[in-house]
Amino acid sequence: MYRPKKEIRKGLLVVIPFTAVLFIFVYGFIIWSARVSLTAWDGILPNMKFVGFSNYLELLKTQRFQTDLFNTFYFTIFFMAVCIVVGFLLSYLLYQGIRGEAVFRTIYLFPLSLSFVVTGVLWRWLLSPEVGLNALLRMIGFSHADFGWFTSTQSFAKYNFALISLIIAASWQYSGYTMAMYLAGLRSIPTQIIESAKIDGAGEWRIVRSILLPSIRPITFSAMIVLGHVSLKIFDLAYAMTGKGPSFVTDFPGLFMFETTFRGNHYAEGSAISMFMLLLVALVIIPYLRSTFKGEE
Amino acid sequence: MFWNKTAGWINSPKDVIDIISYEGEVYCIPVNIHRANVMWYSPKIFKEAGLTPPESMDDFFAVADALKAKGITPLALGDTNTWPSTHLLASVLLASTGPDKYRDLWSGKVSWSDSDVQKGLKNFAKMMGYINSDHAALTNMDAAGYVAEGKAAMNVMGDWAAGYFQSQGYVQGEDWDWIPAPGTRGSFTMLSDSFGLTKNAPNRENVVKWLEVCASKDGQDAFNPIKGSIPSRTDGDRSKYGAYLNGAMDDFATNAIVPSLAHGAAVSEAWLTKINDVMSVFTTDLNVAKATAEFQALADKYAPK
Repeated sequence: MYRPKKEIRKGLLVVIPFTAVLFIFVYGFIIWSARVSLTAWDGILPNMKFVGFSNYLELLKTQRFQTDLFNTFYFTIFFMAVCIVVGFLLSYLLYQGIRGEAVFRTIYLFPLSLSFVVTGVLWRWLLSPEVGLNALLRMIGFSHADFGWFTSTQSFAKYNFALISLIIAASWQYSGYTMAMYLAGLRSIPTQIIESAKIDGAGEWRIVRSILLPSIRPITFSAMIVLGHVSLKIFDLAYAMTGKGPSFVTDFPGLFMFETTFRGNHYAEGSAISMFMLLLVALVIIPYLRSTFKGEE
Repeated sequence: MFWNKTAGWINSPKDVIDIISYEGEVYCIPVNIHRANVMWYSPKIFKEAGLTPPESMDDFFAVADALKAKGITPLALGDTNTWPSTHLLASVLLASTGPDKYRDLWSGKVSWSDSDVQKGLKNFAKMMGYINSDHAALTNMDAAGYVAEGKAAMNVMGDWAAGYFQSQGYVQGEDWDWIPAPGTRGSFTMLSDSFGLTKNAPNRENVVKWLEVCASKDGQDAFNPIKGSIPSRTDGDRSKYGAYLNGAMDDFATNAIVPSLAHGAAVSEAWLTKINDVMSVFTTDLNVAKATAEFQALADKYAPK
């Protein structure tokens, strides 16, 4: 396509400042963090002595980081699963065309407008072991309601039960979001297909299984990417709601990185944690980008 | 150094000068002093149970057993931010080591396998059997509140708790009272907010003037009654301070002064964050041998050489 020179110059003028800022503040700092993670910088004053991957190896040996990785894994799995299942059920209910649909849609979507800090404080109160939900349950007669929620140190196969509280809080906030995505997806399915299926004698369950679910599969994929990168980078919710918890039951790499780097001034170790986090997010994002670009070609 | 020229500085106890010095030079001016090794207790609970607040660790366990038998939570802890358990550990260690060995522990001269240190760690692990079940969900203020509300008998916390009680309208002698943390009478664990003079400060002259105000009797007597702390000098105007602070001033003038652990006076922030990580696990698994090994490894790495 022909473009006059002047227009190209204008275009560059628009693009260059943003690109420059992006390269300095995102990619430049990633490279800087990677470099720091290979040094012996442990304290306020920089010490750029090269030590190879020893920070990474040390990190993998610490109990806190090992717990963090398991926590991230389980939290991500359950958070995604709950959001996707609850989100789909809510959207399916609304899709049936119930009365006051707009009201319910807004109510379900509303938690998303809060920040994770607000969500965290709210659920911290609700699930606090002595005054929250437990107190309510005891009041109505369940005298054995003594689950410690986010203070529980019970675990099964490295799954800390304390994470349940965080999963509830995070899913409460994000289920409305997946609902909105699914609702848009369901609405885009041509009604003729469903009607002809009905004429052919398909029941409700058959329609869901053979028409609705297959047509919204790409949305599930997008939702998983969005939810996945939220949960892999999670910091604010855990910080506001629970902190690292007894024996790190509610700790995540983001919290560990923050305390290590900005409280303890262990800069090299903190950078190594960030590089691990980058790697985790990359594992989710790169396949997504590849499939997106493939689709465009 | 500048502080020599500032009139009246000889009034700070020598132990304080040691804490704010590095290789014989003073690097900052403390504007206030807080005390960390204080035990807050509920006079009502102790009166009703016919008990007296414990002076030693043995007393503590005897009293705690008696309270527990009556269904009262003996010790309130609110360690959602971890440091309150580190704070408690420092008091318990001080109780079995005494001030000199406590100081040497943080300068790396005393090993964590020392018998007194071990006794402290074991006492701490034992103490965890007497705390409120929801400790990991509470902040330090919530735990202090448990004492004033009569939900728990005792709490070890710094003396900002006194400020908290007063701000909530609780009355000393009725809702709360204090003694030094069990086994630490005669020692004063201090922490302080301080201002420093940096090398190559562009406005050196003005900084020195500011520090002179911070160090002066008038400056400190203006600041501390409001902050709820005591002056870092021993000649403060007693009439400006309340009952608790006057008691603290008496102890400050006569006690052995040691640095607080949980607030960065005894060890570097780098060491402290790692200690907090060990504490997060230790308060749960109560494994003294494992904690000892981890504390020793940290001391080897971070203690001044």
